[in-house]
Amino acid sequence: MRKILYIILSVVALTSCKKEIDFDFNEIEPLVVIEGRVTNEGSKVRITPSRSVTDSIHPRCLQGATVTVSAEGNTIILPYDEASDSYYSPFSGVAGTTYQLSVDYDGHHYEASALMTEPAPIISADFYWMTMLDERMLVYELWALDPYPSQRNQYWYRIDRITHHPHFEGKRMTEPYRWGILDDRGCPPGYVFLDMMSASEKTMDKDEEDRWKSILYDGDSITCQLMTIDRPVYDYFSSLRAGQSGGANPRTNISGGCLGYFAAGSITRTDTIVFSRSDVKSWEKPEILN
Amino acid sequence: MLPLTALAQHSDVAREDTLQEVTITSRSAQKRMEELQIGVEKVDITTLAKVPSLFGEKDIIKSIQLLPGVKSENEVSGGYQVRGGKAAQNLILLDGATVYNAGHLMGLFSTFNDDALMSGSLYKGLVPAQLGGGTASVFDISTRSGSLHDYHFGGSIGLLSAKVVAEGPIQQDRSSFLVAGRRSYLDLFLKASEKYRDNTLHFYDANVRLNFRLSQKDILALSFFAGRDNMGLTDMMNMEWGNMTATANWLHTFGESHYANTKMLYSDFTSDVGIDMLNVYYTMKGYIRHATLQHQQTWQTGAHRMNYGLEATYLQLQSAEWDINMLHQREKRNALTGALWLGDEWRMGRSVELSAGLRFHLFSVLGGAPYYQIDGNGNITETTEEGSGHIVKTYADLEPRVSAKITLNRQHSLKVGYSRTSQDIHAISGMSMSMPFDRYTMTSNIIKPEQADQVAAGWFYITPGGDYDLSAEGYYKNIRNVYDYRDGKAFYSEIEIERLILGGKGRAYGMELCAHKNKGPLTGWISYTLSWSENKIEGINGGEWYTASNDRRHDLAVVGMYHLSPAWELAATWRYNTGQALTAPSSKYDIDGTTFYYYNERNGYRAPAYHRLDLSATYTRKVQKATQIWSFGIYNAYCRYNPFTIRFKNDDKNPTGTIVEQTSLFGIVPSVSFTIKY
Repeated sequence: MRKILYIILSVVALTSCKKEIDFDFNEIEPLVVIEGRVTNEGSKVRITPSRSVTDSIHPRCLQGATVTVSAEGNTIILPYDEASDSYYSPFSGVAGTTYQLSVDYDGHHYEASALMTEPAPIISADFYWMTMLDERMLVYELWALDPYPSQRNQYWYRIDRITHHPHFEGKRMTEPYRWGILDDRGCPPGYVFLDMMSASEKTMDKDEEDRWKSILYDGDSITCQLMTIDRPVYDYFSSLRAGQSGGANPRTNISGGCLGYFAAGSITRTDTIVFSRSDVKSWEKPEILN
Repeated sequence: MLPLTALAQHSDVAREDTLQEVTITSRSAQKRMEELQIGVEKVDITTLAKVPSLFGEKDIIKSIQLLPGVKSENEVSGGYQVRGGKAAQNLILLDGATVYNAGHLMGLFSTFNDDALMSGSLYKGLVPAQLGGGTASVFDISTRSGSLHDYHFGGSIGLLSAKVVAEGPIQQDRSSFLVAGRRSYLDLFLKASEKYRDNTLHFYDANVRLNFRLSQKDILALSFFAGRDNMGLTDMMNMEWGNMTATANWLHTFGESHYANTKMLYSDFTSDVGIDMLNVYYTMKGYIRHATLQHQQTWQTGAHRMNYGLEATYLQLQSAEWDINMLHQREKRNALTGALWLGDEWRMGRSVELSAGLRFHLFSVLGGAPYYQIDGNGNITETTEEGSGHIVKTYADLEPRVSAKITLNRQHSLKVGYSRTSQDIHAISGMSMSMPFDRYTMTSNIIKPEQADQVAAGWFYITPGGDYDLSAEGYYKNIRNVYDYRDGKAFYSEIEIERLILGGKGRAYGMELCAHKNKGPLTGWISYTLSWSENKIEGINGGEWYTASNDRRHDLAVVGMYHLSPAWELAATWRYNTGQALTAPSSKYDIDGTTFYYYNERNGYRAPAYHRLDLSATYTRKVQKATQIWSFGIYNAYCRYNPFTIRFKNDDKNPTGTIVEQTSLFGIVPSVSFTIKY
């Protein structure tokens, strides 16, 4: 019987196929992309051009723009900062305040506003094994306090890893290990959690090149930042992710005809975890959900 | 020719309401020529059994995709698209009861077992007055009655499923039964595997039909159908969906030229999906229930044949009931819908026939649930909740239907037609293909009935001996109040589905050509469709008209069946279509260190063309009282890897910067099945 099953599954598996095909893209003139943030860690705006679909060179920040952030009658100018390759000011936002962004570049004016929300203190963050079929899956789980327990709130997170593994030697690592958005709908009152699947134990053992970005190696340093965001910014990131496979562009909260977003948010960060596969414990349901 | 009532009382036709449908059970050339209604296709179940099919599963839904003007959504989907419409705009009726998502294994096979079917009529948007509910098409499928005289049994076994059928008299010449069932058995193999034994993967369907000749003038037909799919990944994930229908049809003949059908119809489509993994607990259940009472009469006098009637339906629709961790929410609404119609087929002379009708369509939104006013950003600005007996809003409209046929001579005829149709159940699909878990909603205080107007004209020719016939039809269709998700919204974003959707309009036009070879050992047809389909929805493509994702310029199907000997039948189908409309990036940009694509033009590109050859051979032999049939098939005989998805992947290590990856589902798939009948 088992042989028959394997034959059937093999036939189906063998018939599907992936291949690379040639494609003739209709390119367009570069567009202006603005990523603006006012947070409790400072204010930073990055302005870049979009690039050709076939271009593998990442652009640097466009210089010559006038960038300001204002709130309650006060305006701060963000000068270009060579070190961070962005328009930067150490000015930190205050929760409960609505901030306006203004960017003038190449004869065009762009503006946006966003409400800064309270931070979500992180309670715990760790790696666990979850058993799925006959293999174990590595999972990253984070719990934080919901700053507005009676409201539906939104969050953005970014998990970074610093690695010294030979696979990544000499490689540019600007992408986060993972990023995403959260909504606390249905979470236990006063809490919000993140469950992020990393890679299966088998994938980690096989160590195939196309999975290196997913696999965590012993000695990798893992940190996560969690930022509370307002609804328009959540909708931007939600549509950014959903639209990539569906062929739709996200709805920006910046007016003036550019791409990108402007967020005002409070960031909290986890302690650094130095990943060690042998130290990962099995996952158990937290008391709060039982 | 038999008198009308004699035809109406034929045991196979107890539920039928139009003369053409009861007499035509094949795509015979003369019947096609005689058909008055423009834009209708009859599906012959015996032809269907000869056409090659995936895994050898005979499939009425896949077989209609070989007809002009009908396209598949994609290789696995159970949905089909008619004249530029979406799959959700097709109404599928089984003995008059509505069936949704008529597919097993997420649509890989149709939910209809060919052993239980008698005929199917596909109306491609132009429908007679007694039909309503699908703006793109109505597929009216009839189940078969059991024999009144003899008992017959049969069974077949294929690669994925096994079927049984039994029929015969309950009381000789007075009543009969037919029972047919099918079940997949992949899960039996799963049970044998340590790794997969806790998983679930099976489907089944069952048909029962009972016919009773109550008197010389009365026939009662009862028909039941249940189809279900269950898929589960241990206790972490489950997906279940299915349809259940029950119909009772009482045919009463008043005299030689006058009969009535009174029907009670019930249908229930349910879907249930759940995930329980780590801290995430998510379940979603939806359903659509129809309870219908219908009465219609057919009356023939002189050159007129009139059909008139009325129906009332109580609708219950649960767009979702979900648990998201500790949150429980539900959106369920009720409605009453009714229709009153009058249609007449008038033979105006030797060469002109006219089918004209008017359908009065009513839809009342009922209270007992919250209704909203929504602003431009999808936020609720006002909520009202009226008592369950109260009518919140009523929509009423008149739907004219006209089809005329001018017979130029014994070989040539011309047809023209116009239909207005409306639809009150709206499926909101987040993908380019329909899924069992699409969220549905009904016409409400703010969602308007979807409405389509279609005009068509055609020319039909048959050679003097009837060996060949040719047809050409052109159509133009306008559709209003088509709903789709707002950008960035998905089925789970909010329980109030009206906050997630935007309305728009569409248009489609094209031409269909078909040539049949009707006689000799080699029979078959070639169908070709040239078509355009466009949409306009605020917020998409700058509010301008854009190519719809189901737009395909050319579709070609060649179907050949060769009667090699009394024992051997061979068949082949070849299909070709222009690649699916595709949205591809025009630029890329960085956000927070990650590269994303910018899309400048919705559906501005084309996927590579699709073509495929399928072959089948059927060997039939008689062994005493038994008929044994071996069916062999090869799906995708020359192993063309057709595009299923096309992905754009940023790759900075690659000098091209972007990798374009095509995924294909099926290479060559052989199949074999064995059937035995007594």
